[in-house]
Amino acid sequence: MSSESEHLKLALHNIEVLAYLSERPDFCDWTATVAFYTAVHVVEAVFFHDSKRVGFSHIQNHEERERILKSIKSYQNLYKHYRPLASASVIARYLRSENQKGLCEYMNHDQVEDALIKHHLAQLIKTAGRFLSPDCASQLAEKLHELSK
Amino acid sequence: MAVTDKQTYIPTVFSNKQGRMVIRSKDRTRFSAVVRQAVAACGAHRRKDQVVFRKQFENLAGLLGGWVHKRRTRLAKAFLTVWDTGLVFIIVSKERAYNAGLEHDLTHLDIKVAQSKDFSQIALSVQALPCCSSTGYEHFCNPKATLEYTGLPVLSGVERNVE
Repeated sequence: MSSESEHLKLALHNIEVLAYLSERPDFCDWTATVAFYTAVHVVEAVFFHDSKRVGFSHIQNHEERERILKSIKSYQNLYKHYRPLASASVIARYLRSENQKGLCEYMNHDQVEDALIKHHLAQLIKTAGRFLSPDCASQLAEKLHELSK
Repeated sequence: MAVTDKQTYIPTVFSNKQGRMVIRSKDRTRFSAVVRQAVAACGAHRRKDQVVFRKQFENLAGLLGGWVHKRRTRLAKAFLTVWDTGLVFIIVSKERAYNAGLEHDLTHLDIKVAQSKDFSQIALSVQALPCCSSTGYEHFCNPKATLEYTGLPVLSGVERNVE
């Protein structure tokens, strides 16, 4: 079973990938997907740290994770930023248009950076900080700050 | 409109009846089949749960219809479809560009339904798509279990056909 620190490690790794992709505007679909999976690991870290209160520590699938985030009121603000990330990643992976541009037709590189990463992912990490251990929260915040420079 | 013309999805209209939105479908048989699939997808297996579920499904479809109606100038398509894991409300924007306002509204709706006791039997997800052809949205809609909101009320004097 993954722990808070294991999810933190994966989230930090994904943020490094986001930094790499920030130099590659033609891969905004992958940027959106990595941003979402960063959010998944942050949320899973929250669930693990909060497990005594909520009664579970790990969620097996996306549907169940979403159901918990939106139905438990204390997680509502997490979900407000998680859902747009999930939505963009679904479009990136599954929407097929005639010109095959997918997400890049919907959101350009700057919009992915500004709306998904600097806003939704940043706010999700900030909100998650209230649930995580102080060390975990500060590491995530620092890493994201580096990315925003 | 190609999909509706092929009758792949079930055209569903909604109207304001005594202050609340209700839905109507001409195709009762296919509509009932969608409800049965929805029952299974949401795990309402007990007979007692199914009675509650059908009422909640009807109310949800009406609520979503009202939501669509309020944003009809911004939406090209709206569907309520059944996946293995539950219901999915899919909207297709008239714009190709990302619309933060529409995403925000959809998230708010999603949370409202999830936290409402009136929809305790319902497992609903939501997904906004940018303006796209049927090639794009068909991938998200169950060909055998999708209601398509067809816009403003067009039927008059027709009985409610919701089970």
